[in-house]
Amino acid sequence: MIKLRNISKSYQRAGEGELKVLKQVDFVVERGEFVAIVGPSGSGKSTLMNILGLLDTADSGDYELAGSKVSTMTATELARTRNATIGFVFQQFHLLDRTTATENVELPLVYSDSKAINGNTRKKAIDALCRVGLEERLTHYSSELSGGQQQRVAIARALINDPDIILADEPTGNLDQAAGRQIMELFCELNQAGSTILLITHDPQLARQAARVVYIDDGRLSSTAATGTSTEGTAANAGIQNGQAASPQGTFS
Amino acid sequence: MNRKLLLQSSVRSMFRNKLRTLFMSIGVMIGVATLIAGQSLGNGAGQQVTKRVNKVFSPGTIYLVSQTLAYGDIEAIEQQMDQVVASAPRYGGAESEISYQATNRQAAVFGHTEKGELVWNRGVTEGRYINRRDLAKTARVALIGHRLAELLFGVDGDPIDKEILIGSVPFRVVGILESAGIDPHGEDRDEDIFIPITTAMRRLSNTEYIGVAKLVIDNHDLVDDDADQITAIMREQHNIAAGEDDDFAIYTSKFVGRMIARANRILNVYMVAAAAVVLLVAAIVIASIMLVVVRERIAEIGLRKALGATEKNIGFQFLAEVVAVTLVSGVLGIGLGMAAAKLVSMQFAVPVMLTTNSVVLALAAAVIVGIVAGIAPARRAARLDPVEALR
Ligand SMILES: Nc1ncnc2c1ncn2[C@@H]1O[C@H](COP(=O)(O)OP(=O)(O)O)[C@@H](O)[C@H]1O
Ligand SMILES: [Mg+2]
Repeated sequence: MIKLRNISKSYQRAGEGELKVLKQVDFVVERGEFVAIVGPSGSGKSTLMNILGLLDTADSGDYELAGSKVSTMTATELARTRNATIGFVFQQFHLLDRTTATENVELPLVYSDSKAINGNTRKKAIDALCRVGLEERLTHYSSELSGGQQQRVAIARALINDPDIILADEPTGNLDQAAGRQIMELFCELNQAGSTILLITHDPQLARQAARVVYIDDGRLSSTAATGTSTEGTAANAGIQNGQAASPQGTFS
Repeated sequence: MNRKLLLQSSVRSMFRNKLRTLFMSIGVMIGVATLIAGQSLGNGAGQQVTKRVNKVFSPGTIYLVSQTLAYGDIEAIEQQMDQVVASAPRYGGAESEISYQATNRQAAVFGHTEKGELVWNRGVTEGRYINRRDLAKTARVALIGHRLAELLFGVDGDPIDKEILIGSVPFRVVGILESAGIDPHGEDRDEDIFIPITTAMRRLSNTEYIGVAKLVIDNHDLVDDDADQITAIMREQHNIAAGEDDDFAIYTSKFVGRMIARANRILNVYMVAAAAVVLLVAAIVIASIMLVVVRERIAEIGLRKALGATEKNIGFQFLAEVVAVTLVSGVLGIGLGMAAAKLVSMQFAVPVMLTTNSVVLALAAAVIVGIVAGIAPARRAARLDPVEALR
C-alpha cells in the first residue's frame, strides 16, 4: 500500500541553516494493517504524515502509494489521489463551522470525479456517519457536538470515499481520555472491517493499541523504542527495515 | 467536481458574515444603481426631447435662418429644387404685450403663411388657420395657444371672434392652436400667438426680411446633399463672393438628430464614468475584504486541499463566492436605480425608460466587478500551501 524508500526532508531555517527532519526513511505499510508511528514532539511525525498524505513532497527518495509512483504526479493528480486514496484525520478535527455533520462528511465528494457519486452524496454521508455511530447526530452543527463526536464526524469524512489508507495525526490529542479511548476503539473496529490505518502519536500507550508500532526519533524510524521506554509492542515490529509487514490485518488483538 | 455542492457552500458563506457581505455589496449596488438611474433617465429624457424636436423638426426638413432672408430666396430655392415638397417662412417670435380688456400678457408673436399648418406641423383645434386672403389683405387676425387663451379669456371663455391687442394694434382671434407643450428651452409653446406673416412684417415691424424658413424635402436620407444645394443657391442670391462667409445658416433634421444623439452620448458617458468610478472603488473594497476572508479561512482552504481540492477548485470557489455577492448586489442595484429614477422623474416630469441593454450592461458590470475583485484573493487562496494552512 505504502512504500517509502530512502526518504529525506529538510527545512531551510533563516539564520540557523538546514534542519534535517527526515533522514533516509524506509517504511512499508501493507493493505489492512493498523500501524502506529510514535515519537516525541518535533521528531518529524507530522512531516512524515504530510509526505505520506501527498500534502508535501520529500527532497529525495521514492514513494509508492497504492501502486503508483508519487514523484511523477502533477499537482492535479496529487489532489485527485488525495481525494480518492487517502482519508485524513487531524488533531484539530477541521470541521467547517455552521455546517451539519452530514454536510461536513459530504465535503470530499465535492471534489470527486466519480459520476456514480453525484446523485446520492447525502446517502453516502449518512452511511459513513452510521459507521462511526453518529446516526443520531446527522443534522447537528459542528458546534453542537462534543469533541469526541466532532472527531467521529472527521473520521466519517475520511471514510466516505473508501480510502486505501486512513492517516490520523494525533487524533486524540484534543480529546479527554474517555473520548480518546472511544476513538481508538473505533479505529480498531474500522481496521477489523478492513481499513488500513496509520496512526501518528506521541503517546506510547495509545500506540500500543495498534497491531504494529514504529518508533521515530530525530527523523529516523526504528522498530524499537530509542530511549528504553516500554517495548511491549515490539513483538509485532519486525520488518521495518526490510519493508515486510509483520502484522497482517486483524491479528493485533 | 460537484458544482452543486460547491455553490451551496458559496451561498452559505455569503450569509455567514452578513455585515461583511453588506459592505461588499453596497458599492456594487450604488454603482449599478447610478448606471441604471442614469441610463433610464437619460433614455427617457432623450426620447422626450427627440419626440418634441421631431414635432417641429420632423425627418426630411431643413431650416434656413438668415437676418436678410427674403421671399425671393425661398422662391429661388423652390424653383431650382424639385425635391423641395413644401416650404413656409416664419417671422418673428419676439415677445409682445397681448391684452384683452383688462388682462395683459407677454407672448411670442409669430408670422405664418397658409402653408404653416402643414410645414410647421401645427394646426388649430378650434376656428380656422391663416389663409391666402389674410395674407393678401394683411388681415389683423390671430391664432392663439390654448394656455394664452385661458390666461386672457378664462378656462370657460370663448376667444373666437374676440378682439385682442398686440401692442396697440387690434386683432381678431380666429383659431386656437394645437397644443405644443414646453419646448427644449423651457418656453411654453401653448402661449404662442400666430398672425399672417404679411401683417407681421408690414404692420408690426415694417421689414422686408423674414428670418426663418422651413423646407420639407421628399427624401430624408438626402437632406445633407440638399443643404449643400441650398447653400449654393443662397450664396448666389445674396451675392456672396468666393471666400466670404455665409450670411445664413442651415439646419437639417439630420444635423439636429446628430446634436441630440451627441448630447445624449455625453450625458451617458458622464453617468457611465461616474458609475465606473464607484464600481472601481467597490472592486477595491471587495478585493481587500476578500483577502482578509482568505486569511480567516486558511484552515478551511487547507482542509479542502487535503480532501482533494485542486488549485482550480479553490480558485473557482472563491471567485464564485465573490461573483455571487456582486451579481445579487447588481440585481438589487437595478431595483435601487429604478426607484431613484422614478423619484427623479416624479420631481422633474422626465419619463423613465429602462432598456434591456441597460439591464444587461448593469449585470455584466456587476459580474466583471466580481471577477476583477475576486481574482487576486482567489489566486491567493488557490496557491496556499496546505501544510502551512493546516498547521
Ligand atoms: N515549515 C517548516 N519550516 C521549518 N521547520 C519546520 C517546518 N515544519 C516543521 N519544522 C520542524 O521540523 C521538525 C519536525 O516537525 P514535525 O514533523 O511537525 O514534528 P512532530 O509532528 O513530530 O511534532 C520540528 O523541529 C519543526 O520545528
Ligand atoms: Mg505533529
